[in-house]
Amino acid sequence: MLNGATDNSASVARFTVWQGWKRAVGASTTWLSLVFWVAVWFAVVVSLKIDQSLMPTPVKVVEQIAWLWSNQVGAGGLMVHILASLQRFIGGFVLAAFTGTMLGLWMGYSRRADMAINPVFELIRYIPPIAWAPFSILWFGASYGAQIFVIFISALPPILMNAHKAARGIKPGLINAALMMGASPTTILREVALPASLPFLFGGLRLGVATGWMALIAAELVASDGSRSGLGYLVLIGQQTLRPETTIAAMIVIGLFGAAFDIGLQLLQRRIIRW
Amino acid sequence: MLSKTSKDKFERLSYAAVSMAGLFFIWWGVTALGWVSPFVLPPPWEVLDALDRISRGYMGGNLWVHFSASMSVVLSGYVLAVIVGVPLGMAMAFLPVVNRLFGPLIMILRPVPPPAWIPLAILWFGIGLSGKVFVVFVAAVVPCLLNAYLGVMETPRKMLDVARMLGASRWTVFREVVVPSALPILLTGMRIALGNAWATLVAAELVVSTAGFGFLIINGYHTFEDSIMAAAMFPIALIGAAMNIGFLILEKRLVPWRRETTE
Repeated sequence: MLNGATDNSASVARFTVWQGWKRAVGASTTWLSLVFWVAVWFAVVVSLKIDQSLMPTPVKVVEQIAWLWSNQVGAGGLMVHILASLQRFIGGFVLAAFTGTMLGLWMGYSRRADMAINPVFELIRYIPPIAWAPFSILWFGASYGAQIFVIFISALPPILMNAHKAARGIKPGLINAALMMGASPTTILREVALPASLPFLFGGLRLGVATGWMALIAAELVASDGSRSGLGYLVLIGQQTLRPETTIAAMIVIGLFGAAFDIGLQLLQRRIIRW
Repeated sequence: MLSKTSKDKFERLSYAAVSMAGLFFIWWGVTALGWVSPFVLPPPWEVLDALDRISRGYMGGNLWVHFSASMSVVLSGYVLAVIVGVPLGMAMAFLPVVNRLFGPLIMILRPVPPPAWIPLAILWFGIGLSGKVFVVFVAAVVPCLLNAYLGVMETPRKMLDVARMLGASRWTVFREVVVPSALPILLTGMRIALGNAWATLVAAELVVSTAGFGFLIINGYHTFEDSIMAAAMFPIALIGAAMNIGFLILEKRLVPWRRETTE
């Protein structure tokens, strides 16, 4: 997560995996395999007579999603929790995207800024984002601020590092060539710098989405007493009330959103970056 | 040439020192002057004091007890993940049947963040060590598995063909071509997995635990001792950094033929 952000091969891995998604969804073997695993789950629970308070059947989990939709748990129904999580996530992510891109580009542009900011950043980078959760509750309150801060601090490193790379990746030769042909600074920014840096920026944003979403769920687990809302809260409350069907239902929703964000960003990337 | 790089190094170091010192003085200043309440941001000397208290014994053990509590869980989960993930990933690359069976399962499970498994782990394994080992395993197994798979899959076709043409046996091809080619990618995955494992362990300890650094943080939070909270974050960062840097050195040793990362 944290370290993966720095690695090119990690982003390559992500890319290939989601490329695989697209192909896989069309393949009948994929569906066969999923049906097989759900059947295994069902068969194990039923045949071993596993206690329903430990592991529910898939049927019960699906029923629970419908039940959560129309019933109140904690702050409200499923929609309330989804919206609470999304609100926190978008808040923290937008902050991180803005700060990270600006700082990263600045560090790529100015060597001094790089030398001054990088060491501080290296220090902070190694603290797992979730370790900030208790402090952020203290600083920003448990209902929204804490989660937003944890998302911010987790999504910042990959976004910043990729923005840094993006700025350094713009070849001076390209800019000189544009200058020689009499391009204005705005033209250079629009026609040279932006196209050259966008792929990196997008890579950073995608990693940021993945780490941010993970941090949100962790933060909602830790700050659950104070907020009583969010998908992470649902996951935890399912365990505390011995209703694993709630936990698993919430995990499914979390996974669906996580996948949707990544696929959405990829589609956006393909649309904007055509070269 | 040499003098230029050493000058550059000196410049970098001095910039780093100045910015770190500046940050420290801001921290020291705002707390010493009373601009920020010690209940919101603990002063540096209180954090040092808290570190000292932890090292002498705090909440059922000294620094070593908490260190070994965290380390034993993270290493057990990690080793388990490597033992399961690497062979399974390789099997997926070699045998289409295994790939078709496990590939979709992993694709479905992958978007669920590891911390989301913490409550289920508590439910299944209780609040003891085995639950946390399970969560660490979940966090670490995916990068191991995926990079083992990718490493094998990205073995250049030509090399395989050449080796076969020269009459190498399947085992020789595996040992002399596939492994050297896959190892850099695999090791990167294993390093990422270790980082994931560490971060997820801290999350798990924050949710439920009786020892370890994450436990120290959440305990400090519950007893309103933010100096303990801050003090516990330092060893967490140090261990995280040490594991990553140590692994990078190991990578360089093990795979000197590794292609430089594309810059």
